[in-house]
Amino acid sequence: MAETGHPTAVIQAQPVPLKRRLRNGAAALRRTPLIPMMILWMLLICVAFAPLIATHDPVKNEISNNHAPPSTSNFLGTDTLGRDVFSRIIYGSRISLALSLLVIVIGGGTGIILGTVTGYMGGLADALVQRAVEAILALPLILVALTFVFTFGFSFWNVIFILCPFVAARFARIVRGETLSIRERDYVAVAKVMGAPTHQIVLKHILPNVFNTVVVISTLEVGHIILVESSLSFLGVGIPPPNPAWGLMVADGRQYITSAYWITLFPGLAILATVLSLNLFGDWLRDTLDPRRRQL
Amino acid sequence: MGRYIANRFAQSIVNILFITVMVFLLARATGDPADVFIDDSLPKETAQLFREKLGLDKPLHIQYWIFIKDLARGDLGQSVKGHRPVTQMLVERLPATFSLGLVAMGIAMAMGIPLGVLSAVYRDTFIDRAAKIVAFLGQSTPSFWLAIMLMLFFGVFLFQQGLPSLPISGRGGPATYILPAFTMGWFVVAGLVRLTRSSMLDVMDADYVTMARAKGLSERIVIWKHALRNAMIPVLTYSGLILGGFMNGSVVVEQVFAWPGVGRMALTAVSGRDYPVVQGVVIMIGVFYIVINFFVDILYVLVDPRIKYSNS
Repeated sequence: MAETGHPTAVIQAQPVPLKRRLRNGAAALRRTPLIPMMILWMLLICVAFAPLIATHDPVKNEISNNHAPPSTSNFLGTDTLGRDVFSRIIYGSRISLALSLLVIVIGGGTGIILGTVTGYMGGLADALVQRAVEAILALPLILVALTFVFTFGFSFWNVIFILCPFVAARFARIVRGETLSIRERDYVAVAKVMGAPTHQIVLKHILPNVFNTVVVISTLEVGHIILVESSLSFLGVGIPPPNPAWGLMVADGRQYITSAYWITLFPGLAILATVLSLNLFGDWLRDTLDPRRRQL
Repeated sequence: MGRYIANRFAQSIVNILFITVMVFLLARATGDPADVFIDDSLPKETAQLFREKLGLDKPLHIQYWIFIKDLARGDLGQSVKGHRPVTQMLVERLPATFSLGLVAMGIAMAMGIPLGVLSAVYRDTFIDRAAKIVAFLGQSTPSFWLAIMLMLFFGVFLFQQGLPSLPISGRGGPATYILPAFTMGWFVVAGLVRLTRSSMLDVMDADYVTMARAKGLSERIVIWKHALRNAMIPVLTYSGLILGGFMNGSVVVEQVFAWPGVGRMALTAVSGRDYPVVQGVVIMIGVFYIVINFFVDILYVLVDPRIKYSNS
């Protein structure tokens, strides 16, 4: 704030008319996805305070009270084993979120490193990684994951392990595209001329510039991973029972859909609300963080 | 141009090789294939003979070479359970999967393209925002759940009310296509809406659209004829990729609707540990996707010469 003579300071000093400020504010507010943000906050609260919010033990059977319709004691009814659907959905949020975050950190992290390093270096390594990325993305994810998990056993970690390469490939492709354009910028050329080593250029000049893109795709990918994980759990090869995974719950109720619709309906709505919120929020993030890429 | 195609072709071949390596390794990682064929009660010598016959006694890279050689001849091996060539099984099941994919694509286009045009024309209005929500809704709905809900309403509920209902499982007349095709198509509406919208916004500023307006043509003709026709190029090429994507989604949808296609066959094969079949389906879907990708890229350059084809 000391540089009073600086030209930007002069520009900032001119007051924006109140009317326009209000109008801009209103427009920004209209674009802000308030409802999705609220849903995501609720989700985070559920994840953090599941034991406090849930009214029942999510895995405790109470056969005498099975297929009970939604009521004041079981908000969303009970399933075939008499477990409380509401409490299971609350606890299920932990599984979905933990799994997708782990996949983002491990798979996405690998993809970011591969994308920036090979994108910057180019040459044979880049070409090979690109071919591998395209090959992975061409494979039918659900089927490959299905085969893998079926062979090596249903477990939380096996699902994570098989999803990581796919997520890494998606990250690598997008981050590489971004890196290719950053590589041509002047400051990278300057750093190179000044003799900066490759790892320093990637760390200090490229990574910070792909950060916004990474934030956006991570948000969108979390939604995508939740959908894939729930599909696997639905097919019976994802998270093993009796864990309250949302996809598993939908599958549990499928047989009784005509007599006890709530077992299937509510977990599905939970998936839908979560993924939809993530998608809308991610779309808004893209508009906000990277106005150039805004879809007009 | 010729060089670009040659280059792209070479890339696709390398992609396919990568796929075969990955599938081969995955298949070997899932355990000794001989275990599936050989019963524990068999004497050691017979088991050894089996191994030799299947080429499993040779080193890994030679096994891979045999695998590739068979593949090039269209031989995907024998099904363990069905005792039939996998290729033959695929050929039998493909029409069901393909026809479902085409109908799903038709439904998705019938919803996505008009929505995309409307949201471009009424940009930043209520209509635009509503179209966006519909698009995101499609992308966010778990298809297995949507399938069950559709069955519950259109199959069970309407039937119970004595109203005309839709069949909910199996493949038969045109009516059996509606629910599974909608479930599959619903997921890709989002992509079509967004692509149509941005493509329409691009062409709406073009000179020929201004010209058409200046000629005094009605706004309806300008938008739906002059603008849309040109905006369709990227949408049509993208549709090819969607068709490839459907093959992946078919596993879930075919399972829920008991559709006799490739996806359901693969799922049955996984639970029966019939790995040659699973391997065949994965390779077929992967190669199909790469081939479509290749043609889409070529088509793109052909229809729009402005796209510059670099070798990077």
